[in-house]
Amino acid sequence: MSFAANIIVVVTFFFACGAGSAFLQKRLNLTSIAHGAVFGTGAYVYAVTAMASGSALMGALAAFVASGLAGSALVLAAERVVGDDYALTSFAFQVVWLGLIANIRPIIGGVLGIPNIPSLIGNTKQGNPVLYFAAIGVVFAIFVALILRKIARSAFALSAAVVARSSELADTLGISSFATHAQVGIAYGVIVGLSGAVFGSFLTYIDPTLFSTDTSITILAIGFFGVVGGIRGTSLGAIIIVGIPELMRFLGSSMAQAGFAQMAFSGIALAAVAVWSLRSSKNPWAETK
Amino acid sequence: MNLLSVIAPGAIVFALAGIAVRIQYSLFRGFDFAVAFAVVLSAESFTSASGLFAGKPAVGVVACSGLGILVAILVVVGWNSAIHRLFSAHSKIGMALLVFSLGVSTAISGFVGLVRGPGLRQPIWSPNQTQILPSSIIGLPAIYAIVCGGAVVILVLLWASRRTGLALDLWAQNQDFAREIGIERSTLAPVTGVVTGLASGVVGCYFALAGGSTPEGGLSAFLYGAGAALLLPAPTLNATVLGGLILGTIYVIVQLIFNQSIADLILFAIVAYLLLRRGTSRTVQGAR
Repeated sequence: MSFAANIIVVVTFFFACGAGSAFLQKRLNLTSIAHGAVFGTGAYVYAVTAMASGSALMGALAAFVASGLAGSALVLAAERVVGDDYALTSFAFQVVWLGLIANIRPIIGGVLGIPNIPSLIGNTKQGNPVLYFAAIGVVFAIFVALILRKIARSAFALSAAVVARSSELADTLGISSFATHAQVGIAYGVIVGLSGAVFGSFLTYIDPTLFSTDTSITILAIGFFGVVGGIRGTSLGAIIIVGIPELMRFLGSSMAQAGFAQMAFSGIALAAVAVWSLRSSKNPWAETK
Repeated sequence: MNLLSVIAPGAIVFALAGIAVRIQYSLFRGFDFAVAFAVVLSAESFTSASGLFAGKPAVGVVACSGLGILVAILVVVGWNSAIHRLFSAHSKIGMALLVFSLGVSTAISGFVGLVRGPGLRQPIWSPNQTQILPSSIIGLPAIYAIVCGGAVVILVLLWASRRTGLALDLWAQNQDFAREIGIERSTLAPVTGVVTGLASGVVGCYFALAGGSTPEGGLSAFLYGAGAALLLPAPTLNATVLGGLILGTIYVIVQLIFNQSIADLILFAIVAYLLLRRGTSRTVQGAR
């Protein structure tokens, strides 16, 4: 029972991150390889604030604000760089963020990370805490799906589509490219960062390896499932890319083997989506001859 | 002398990685992670083959290096041909190439990790202990990088001023004009594959010799190369080599003073700054 709940926790939080990544891709056509940094920002800010204040709620609030800021900063880089240059810039951000986190010893522990993070659900004496987190994960995933669906049907989605297509056209129509980028960034950052905060609270221990480039690529791959297949696609992506390796781990594979399987699945998904995109009429990337 | 023997290999490796990234960028007009998996496969081939040459480091380095470089060349030539066929209907494939090659690179790292297990794998010799010159600290990895890597850098620079090198330069600058005088991506792909494979192969073999190979090591090589290719604004191989030498020197000095993690941090802060400063968005460039 605990095994199943554990898989549900991991899958639901990666589903939310993947949905955030797909949101960024769909709204502004941005492919980021720094999802791990935003995910980690939420987790680290939650951990530090919750430990300093003794209140998990304060931690969650601080994570909410910090991850929104981190997301908007990341997305605002698209005001200057686009396309594959944006992807490479975000990759550089990811490496810089990891370098900072791994080298700041005071407060965040450097490579040793932060142990004994207060749990969001407190010291529950009754029942299995993993089950509580599984329930939180399911509710959070449903909430994210509903919010993103509502945004997709709003006028804001149309504004973002105009900004993604042409900043000149957006200017002509009176749509602020800067504000749109910032708003999309805040929504993306809050979704991914809060997932990180709750995930950190679930693990009660975080270190830089949890938010590495591999994590970014995993979230990116799940996000591409979402670009192709919407919410169902994101769910399928999270189950295949995160759920199956977790299942392997519970069936006796080592952590390392499960991690490498996750890398292999993520890579295959990315490659398949790239090929699909070039053959599809909805291809957002290529310009034909 | 000893400080130079520490800095020179790093600088040459950055220059080689830069050459590989720049050539692929010129050919496909996009960042290509083929460099990353060519480095991983070369390093893994080197390490695996070293078991056949226990006790003979000199012969082993030559033979394993030959194998590693050959593997990298075959991989990149095959990759270039496949990419050309797969994306032949499209002239601008930058984003799709980045995502596709990142996916293939990640999948290869995952499969390599599944097959051989996690962590560092080193050649059977103790390379850092192998001193070639008495009373000096110059080890086999440094000698390899300076002699083999230096020779490859010079060969590539000579190649860049020859017919195929100039054709690639023209292709990178103006594809329409290049087509008019008979230059096609299909004819450039195999030759550039050999040059990229050669550079990536030497980087992979150096990684294996110096610190051992890991399934994820190729990403670092790609990012070092991207930094070298972007450091100077001129989009030429000469500028890339110079950029690599400068960046590699900075990287090694920072690494000596602090640690590798801080060196990575500073290096990629420079890369991010350069990309943001130059900018490619329509708003920045004012294009309509």
